Amino acid sequence: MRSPLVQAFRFSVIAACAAIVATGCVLDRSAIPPGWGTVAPAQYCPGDTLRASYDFLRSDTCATTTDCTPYFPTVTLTTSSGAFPSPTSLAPGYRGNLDFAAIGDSVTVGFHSNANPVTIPTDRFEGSSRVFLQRTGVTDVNATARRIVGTQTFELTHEGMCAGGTPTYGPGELPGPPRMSPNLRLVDICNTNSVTIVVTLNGSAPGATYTQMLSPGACLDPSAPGIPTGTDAARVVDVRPLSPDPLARCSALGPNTPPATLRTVAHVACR
Amino acid sequence: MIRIRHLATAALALLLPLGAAQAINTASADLVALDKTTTTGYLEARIALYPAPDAKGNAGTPSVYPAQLLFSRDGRFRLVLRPGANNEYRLAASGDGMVSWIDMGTGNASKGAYATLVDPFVRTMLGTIGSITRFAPMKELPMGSNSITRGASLQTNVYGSGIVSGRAWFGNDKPTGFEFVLSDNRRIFVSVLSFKQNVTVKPGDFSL
Repeated sequence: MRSPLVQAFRFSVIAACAAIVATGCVLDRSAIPPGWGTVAPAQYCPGDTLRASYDFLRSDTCATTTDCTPYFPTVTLTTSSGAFPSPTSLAPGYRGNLDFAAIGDSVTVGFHSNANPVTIPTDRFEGSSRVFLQRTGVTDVNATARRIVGTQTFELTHEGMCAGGTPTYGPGELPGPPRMSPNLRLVDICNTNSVTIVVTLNGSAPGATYTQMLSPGACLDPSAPGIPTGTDAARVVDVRPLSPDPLARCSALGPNTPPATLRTVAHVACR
Repeated sequence: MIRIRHLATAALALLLPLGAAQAINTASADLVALDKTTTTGYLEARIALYPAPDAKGNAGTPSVYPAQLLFSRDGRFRLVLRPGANNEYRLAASGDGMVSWIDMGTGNASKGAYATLVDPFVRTMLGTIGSITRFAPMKELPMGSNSITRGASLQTNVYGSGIVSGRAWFGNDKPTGFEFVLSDNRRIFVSVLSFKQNVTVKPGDFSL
């Protein structure tokens, strides 16, 4: 059985809905997923700017014919790290954020909403009834970002694919925003396959690429002599074997057997 | 045991290669154009489901499934994993608000609510045409000008979705692969083997 408080709130929303929308409305209640407040990047480098944010809307939008402001929650952020004045209340809204400089080894931010549930009159209709969203379970949450220490290892997989009759490999994206710091740099990338591969690093600068052959077990060090400065800022790793996979069958008409997956291991660190 | 929600995610990954080659040079533009022009499709693919990376950054060994998918973007689909094998697995949504599945290896069959079992992002992509940038803002990935591969990264933006982000790869403007990262850090990679856009479908096509 619902508590009187919940029932009262539900009825008040329905009453507001009826007042706003002559044709009625539909309540779409769903529990908010854990971690409705986030801090990005979750792993940062010294000197990074962090962003604490929340978003109750995602791809939904407020009704253009209805004033949403009476329903806006006010979210208050707290931290004991000293990274920003605590508490800090953001402007009322379904979305909000606060940027601050990262300090120390970690920053934990607490998120508190003065509304629970959060009600959103949307621009969606079911039949002639406007959809009101209710985000329930908007309880206090904490989000923590941590400083990256030392070198981190990421294994990249390069799945075999067929581009018509041409065997190709899925490039690997090196870690970066929004989960990781934008100031991570490539320390090296190694060929862990049993075959020689050709590695191309892309995106260190607009249009920039650097290609090098790597025998099994060999690594590419972007700071080595002869490699263009800034190659360590590459974002995408493209690979192909020096010799085509003999078992791959790619044709425009199919059926296709894509080449076997290749792997590389990237080591990254804060610059 | 195969988890039904993740199969639905795989179905989404299969849904994204939405069309044939077009003379557009960026993966982002290809995706947008294909999203606008595809109402039904049939494709064959190889799905690799990777576990979350371990503490040392190792990607792990994937579970690999040959797959066939027929879909209609009014919420209907039929997904077959390991087609023709003794343990073939079928999953179907015929538009009645339910998803049915059967494991041919064990004979176990059941069904559940479409709204509960299918990831919200999958439901959105199966039910909305021409709005992919609203639900998955994308950014072109830097690739060399002499490469035939183009890629775009996607940040999914659908409330409640377990799909955090993705990447779409095109070769010579044709969809070749799609990758999705789940909220628990597992990854799904789909290698596209063949695709037919806007195929004729009939209601019986979406039964088990």
